[in-house]
Amino acid sequence: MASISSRRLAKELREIQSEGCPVGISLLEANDFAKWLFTIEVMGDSVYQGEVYTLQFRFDSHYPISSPAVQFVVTDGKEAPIHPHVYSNGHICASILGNEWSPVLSVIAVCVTLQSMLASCKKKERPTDNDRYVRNAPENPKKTLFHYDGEHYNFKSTYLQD
Amino acid sequence: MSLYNYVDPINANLTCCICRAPFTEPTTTLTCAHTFCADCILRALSNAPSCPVDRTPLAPTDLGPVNPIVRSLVDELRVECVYKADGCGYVSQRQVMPLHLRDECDYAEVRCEEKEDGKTCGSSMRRMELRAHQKKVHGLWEQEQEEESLLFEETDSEEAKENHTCPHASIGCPYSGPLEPSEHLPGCPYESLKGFFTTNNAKMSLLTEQNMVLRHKVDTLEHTVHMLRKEMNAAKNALGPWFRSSYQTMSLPAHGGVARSIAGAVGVASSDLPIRMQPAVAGPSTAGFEDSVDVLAPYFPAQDEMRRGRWTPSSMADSVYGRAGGVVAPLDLGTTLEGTLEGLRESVVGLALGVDSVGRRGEIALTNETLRLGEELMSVRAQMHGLRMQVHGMMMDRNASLTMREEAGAGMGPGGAYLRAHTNFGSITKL
Ligand SMILES: [Zn+2]
Ligand SMILES: [Zn+2]
Ligand SMILES: [Zn+2]
Ligand SMILES: [Zn+2]
Ligand SMILES: [Zn+2]
Repeated sequence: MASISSRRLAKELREIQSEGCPVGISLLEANDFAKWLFTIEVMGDSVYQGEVYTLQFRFDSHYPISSPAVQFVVTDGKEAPIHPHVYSNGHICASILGNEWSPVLSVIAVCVTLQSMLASCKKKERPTDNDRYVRNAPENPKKTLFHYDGEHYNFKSTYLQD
Repeated sequence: MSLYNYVDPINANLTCCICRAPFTEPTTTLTCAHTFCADCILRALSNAPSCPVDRTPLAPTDLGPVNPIVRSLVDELRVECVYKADGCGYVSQRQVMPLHLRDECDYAEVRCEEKEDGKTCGSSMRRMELRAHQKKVHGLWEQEQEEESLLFEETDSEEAKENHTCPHASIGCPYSGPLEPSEHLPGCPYESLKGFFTTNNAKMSLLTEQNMVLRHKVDTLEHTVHMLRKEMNAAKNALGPWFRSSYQTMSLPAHGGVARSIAGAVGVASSDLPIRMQPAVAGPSTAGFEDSVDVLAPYFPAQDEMRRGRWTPSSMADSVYGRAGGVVAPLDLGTTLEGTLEGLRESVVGLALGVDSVGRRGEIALTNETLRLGEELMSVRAQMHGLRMQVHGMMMDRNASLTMREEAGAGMGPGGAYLRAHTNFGSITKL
């Protein structure tokens, strides 16, 4: 019998396949219930016009109670968007992926949130502590505890112990 | 979260937004009225103590069961047997499916419970394989084995087109021979009964299904009764001596009254009456409640003492000084809790009135006393004045006589005498 997380993911996948993804988002790969890939593109006027990024989701058996591990793919010549909330290793500092995750959210909801995060960006720049973070960052972005500081994100990052 | 596949399209209002499937044991938050599966919301709360929908703070104690209508709506959704992929085509209401899996499904995993040499076999297999396993390994069903082997032989021979079995073999026709079914059937005793068997079978399966639903309901009801009993006990404990069953409350006033009047009129010894009918005139300890109440009994007057208005402060004083018991509070254990509260409220109102009148009386007394004291003070003052005037007069006379004496004997140190006189004068006029 399928686990709870894969049943829920199967439902989401069925919905994606029957109803399609929102504009600018498309499913690239979903061979199992452990890792999915999406392409994400900002539509309309924006500093990222014409750029396509690849978003990777990794799920553990506690999904949707625990959040998926989401990051931009930075291998095979792919790059992470230059954005004050996105580190050059693809890790994303977004409250929705951390302490504001809710089991009510879905994979598509995360994609749409990140798409609008990119769309609202006015100036392409890396987080101020990018170099320090990338040097010490864990492989799984979920192991990073980002600190959110209201609207102006404060990119102090600490690492959770294993 | 439910592991079933649902046959019909699901109303979106009946799906849990955590697992995206119809609610299993729907549970509602008492704080924000959102509904989830019990399991889903408990797991979500163990991860973060807030409502997944609106993120308001939420604790497991803020959860309550959903309206039973919603529960029935999801429990009655039709689901496929979880062994559909293996070949089971069974479809039923969701609440019945666990029973199908437990008792019926040929594809469900079962455990052989056969005991051999004091050890349970314990090997697990599909239910459909259980019989073959028990036959082969444990040598059960031997008698039927023979019959079955006979049947197999017949099947073999049928293949060889030599022997035919009756189409009613399944319901018991033992015929096996060279006649084609069409030739055998006119004489077959089971042919005339086949209608009966068909309807009987249909009825049987209907009854089996109903039985399963009923069993499920009984299970749920038993659970509910258990819960209610627990709550009832808790309520009983909380109510303490005020708890009595409706039977008692109904019977106590009527029978008690009758018993009392009989006891009074005919003079029946009160000990001859059943304990609950004893007139409660012998004192608080025989008020007629459970033994556990006796501890409190001295604190509460007997109910008919109250009713007859014998319970007055003086009788309270009697009980305080005359009996061994302590203070008697104006409580009546004979009524319901509500009645007692009402009585207490009245007592408090009475007390407040009493305190008020005492205060007013005190005030009047105080005023009177003040007036009286004032008058007295006035008279004392007047008398004082008189006295002073008298003393003054006396001193004047004395001074006059002194001066005269000084003038007469001027040879003595005049300064000293003058001084003395003046000091005296001064000290007297000070009065
Ligand atoms: Zn809520
Ligand atoms: Zn659920
Ligand atoms: Zn089945
Ligand atoms: Zn066995
Ligand atoms: Zn026959």
